[in-house]
Amino acid sequence: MNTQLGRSMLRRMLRQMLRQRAGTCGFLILSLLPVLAQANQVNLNINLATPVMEAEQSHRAFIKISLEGFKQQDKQARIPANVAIVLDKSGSMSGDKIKYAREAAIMAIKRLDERDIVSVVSYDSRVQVVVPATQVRNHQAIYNAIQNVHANGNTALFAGVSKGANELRKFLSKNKVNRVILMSDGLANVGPQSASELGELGASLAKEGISVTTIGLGLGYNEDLMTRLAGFSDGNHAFVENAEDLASVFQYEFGDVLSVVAQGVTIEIRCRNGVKPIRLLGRKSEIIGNRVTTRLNQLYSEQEKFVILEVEVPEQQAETELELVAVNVSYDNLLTQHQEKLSGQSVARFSLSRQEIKAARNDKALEAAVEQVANEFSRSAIEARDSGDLEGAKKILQDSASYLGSQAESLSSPLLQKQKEEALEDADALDSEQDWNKQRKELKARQYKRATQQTY
Amino acid sequence: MKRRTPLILAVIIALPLLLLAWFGVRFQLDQQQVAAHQLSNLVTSRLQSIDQQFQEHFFLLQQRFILRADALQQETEGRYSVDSVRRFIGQSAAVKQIFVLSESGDRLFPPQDQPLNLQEQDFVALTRNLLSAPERFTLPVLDPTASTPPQGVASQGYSGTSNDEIQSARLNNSVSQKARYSADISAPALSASAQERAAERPHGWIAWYAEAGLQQIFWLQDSEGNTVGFALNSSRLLSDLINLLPSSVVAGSDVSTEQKAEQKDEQETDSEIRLINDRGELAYSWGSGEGGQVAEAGKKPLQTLPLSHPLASWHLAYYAADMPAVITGWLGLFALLLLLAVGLSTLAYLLYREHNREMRVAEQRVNFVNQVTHELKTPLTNVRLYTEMLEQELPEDDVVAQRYLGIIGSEAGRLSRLIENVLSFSRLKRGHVRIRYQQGVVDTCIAQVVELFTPVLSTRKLQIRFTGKASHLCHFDSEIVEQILNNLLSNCEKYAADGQFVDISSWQEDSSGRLYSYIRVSDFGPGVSVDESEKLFEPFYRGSDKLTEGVSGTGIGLGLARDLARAHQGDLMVEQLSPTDVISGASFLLSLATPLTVPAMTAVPPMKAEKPDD
Repeated sequence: MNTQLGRSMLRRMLRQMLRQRAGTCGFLILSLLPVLAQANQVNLNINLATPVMEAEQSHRAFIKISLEGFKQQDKQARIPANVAIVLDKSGSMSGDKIKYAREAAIMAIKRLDERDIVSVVSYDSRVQVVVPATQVRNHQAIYNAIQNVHANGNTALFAGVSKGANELRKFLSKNKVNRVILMSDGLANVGPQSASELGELGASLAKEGISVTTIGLGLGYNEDLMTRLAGFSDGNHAFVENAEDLASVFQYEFGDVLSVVAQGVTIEIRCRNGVKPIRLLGRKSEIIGNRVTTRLNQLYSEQEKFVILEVEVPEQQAETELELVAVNVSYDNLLTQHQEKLSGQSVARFSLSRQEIKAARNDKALEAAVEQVANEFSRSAIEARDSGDLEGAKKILQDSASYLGSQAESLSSPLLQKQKEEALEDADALDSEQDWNKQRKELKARQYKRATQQTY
Repeated sequence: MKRRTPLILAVIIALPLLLLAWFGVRFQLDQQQVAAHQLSNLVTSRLQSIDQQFQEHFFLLQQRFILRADALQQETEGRYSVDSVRRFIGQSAAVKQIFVLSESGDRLFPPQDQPLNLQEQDFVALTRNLLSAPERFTLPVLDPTASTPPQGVASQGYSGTSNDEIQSARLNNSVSQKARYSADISAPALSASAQERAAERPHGWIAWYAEAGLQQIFWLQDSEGNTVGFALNSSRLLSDLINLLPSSVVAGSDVSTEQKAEQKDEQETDSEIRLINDRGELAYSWGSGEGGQVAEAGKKPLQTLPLSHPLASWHLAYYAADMPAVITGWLGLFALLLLLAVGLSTLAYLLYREHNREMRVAEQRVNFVNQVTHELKTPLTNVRLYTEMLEQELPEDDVVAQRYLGIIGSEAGRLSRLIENVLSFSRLKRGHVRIRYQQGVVDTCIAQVVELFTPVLSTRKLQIRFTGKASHLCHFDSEIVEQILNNLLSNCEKYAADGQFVDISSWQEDSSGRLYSYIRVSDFGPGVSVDESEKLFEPFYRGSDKLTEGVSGTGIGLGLARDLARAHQGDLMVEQLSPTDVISGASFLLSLATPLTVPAMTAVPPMKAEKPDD
């Protein structure tokens, strides 16, 4: 296993050396010690699931590229947040739902202090700016305003998100965590309402560094729209069946928001030596020729985010080494407020010895790859079910389960075993027509979490 | 009379009410029209200002794109390298895709010789037709109607000169706007001259239908003749437009005073404005109050305004609830009218009741007088009867007794004439007069009256000179003739006692086959003035004070006489003496229809059988 990690750009190195920053002197040694945690520095790990491959044979290989946010040194030094809470107050929210939503929002805002900016937007057929973007100084005034939100009317989701984003823009800064938290329980029915239109908006917001977290409440919302809106900007997505659970979801979400350490992460992977990229599992990516690029909007403190790249490796002679991919990562370090770059590469060895191949296997990376592959199966199962092919969908999930089962055994991974059981349960649940709506939402949310390694 | 009073009262009530109602309604309608006009002007200007805002937004975008295009050109030295353009797309929130066409129409970006990513592939597929006609971008089409390109492409150039004003006015803003707008790379600093040069080069907006809706493209020719096109992210565009528009009111919010003020502003206009996209779908709505409910109810908008290019086929619709002010106006008018109607009606009712009561009292009095008069008749008849009998019984030589009896008789006669007058009067008023035609000679009848009056008049030193020429046998009611003559002669006795003579002449004339009898009674008293001549016949009128002083009378005599004459198909009038006449005095001419044969019908249809002793 040879993974190298270091800074690629001489300019960057020189600048950092000149500043004599702690932890930067060891950058040369670091290439040999990937596990060494570095203060205020994102960790890049590139792991090949099968670092030693059988020679004289072409392979499909999985490469896990993971990034881990550094630890926030102390709670006080966290990155200020700029959050817009967008609440659905359409007629379907009436009663307890809106009450819980209000409470959840208030509870969440309690965690903020005067470093942070908060705005609250509610929407029904129209949009109301309940709390214009404001520093969190006078908590009570904000709570009072939120308490005045009452359910009524239709669902102008697009306009709600637009206005929420507009409130964010008032204090938009690269040094803040800019996030729209959208909570909806219904289908958008005023203004644009298709997943693609909302996705476009999400993509545009992502370009500005605004991420959108979507929380679907109950069984009435459009999970495609919500996951897509979140997906473009790498926000979180959650399915909350009971309004009582909103508070905890908001807490998790704000926990995430307050632990962001890096933003605007772009990963560029170049395949070398005839290696062909096949797909990037989990996240949206752009594959042009042998170049794969993807974006992560943010990295959270001490959380690992990864992507799995599946490549095709041409056959090689035994006892040779081959550089498969070179990875360049750039991100905005919120603590130092500088853009930083990382690079690394993945090198495979080819051998004829099965022993060596087996011994070198990176179980963790493979486990992650299998998890993502199964996740892709689950996605295609939904597509099949949507197109009415119930049997096909079942078959996909069963295949996925058996694939997971065999891999779980060979890797002796309880995680995959659990995922296998889930897949089997999902296959059973496909049949029931009345539960499908809920099932689909659960599935979508679960897939989204797996793909983005969301913590809650 | 009884029916006329309520009618008049009704008219008195209705007329002013109707007039007031008419004016009120007209005034109200005028007000409404004025208000509606003002409102529509207000709404139009409001909608237009929104359109203007949108135009400014596009203009800002245009300014930015011109700068970006220049920066891009400089950065890539006019080659528009793939990576740079992609990086630019990756950073620009408002732009979905960029295309670059060379002067010869070849596509430089998305590249033709390199693999494309998914979005680029989609974009190329969508815009194949658009990009295959590069002449569309060579010159700005100033007149949008002059070219009707296929597939609904509408192109319109912004002439550089007309934009200069806005440019200079908005340029300072654009920087701050931009910073707020996106966290993109900071705008490359360009000299003002470079901006101007950029603005002079051909550029324009294209709106074209793709996928599910209108897509906007801004294109610009760079200094080397390449055409750079920026396709907007349509969702983002809508989102930005929405952010230009106000949000709705939060009920009871008290976060900041600014918000409160805004809220107050909004509440004043109870309306909703909707942004409708090219598919006729509601894209965004804002406003307050009942406007939304009006819109929900599917009513027509009060006003719509189509948006300008490149948002053509979008429009704004203004919905409003009915103006409450107008309703109160109507309410006020109706309340006023109702109040007035009630007031007038009450007044009229009170008047009517009072009037009715008085009428009843008067009627009772008249009845009472009639009754009394009637009761007087019987004893008087007895008095006269026994006076006559006594006159016959008494010896002729008892002169004194005879003279006394004569006085009793004549006074009784006078009293009975008076009673007869009163009774006839009330009969006439009730329409109970019946003419009883009997055969006779008019002169005979006159002679009887003259004979009866001779003693009375002679006591006043008046002498009757009667010349009778109405000697034809004809039909007439002798009682009526007697009564009329009685009245005329007793007037002579009362008022013309100084005249010495009373001339009575009668004659008959045949006019169109009917025989008319005329009787003229003239005296030589003070006479009747022209003014008085008609008033004399009005009931209860009694000449001038000078004349009537010290003379008793009821004032009904002449009127009664005329009414009787008219009932007899004749008339009674005062003859005006010609001014040359030296002789004063009054002259009354009585004309009567006195047919030779019995007429088929009486003058006044009998209402009920009359008692013979009336």
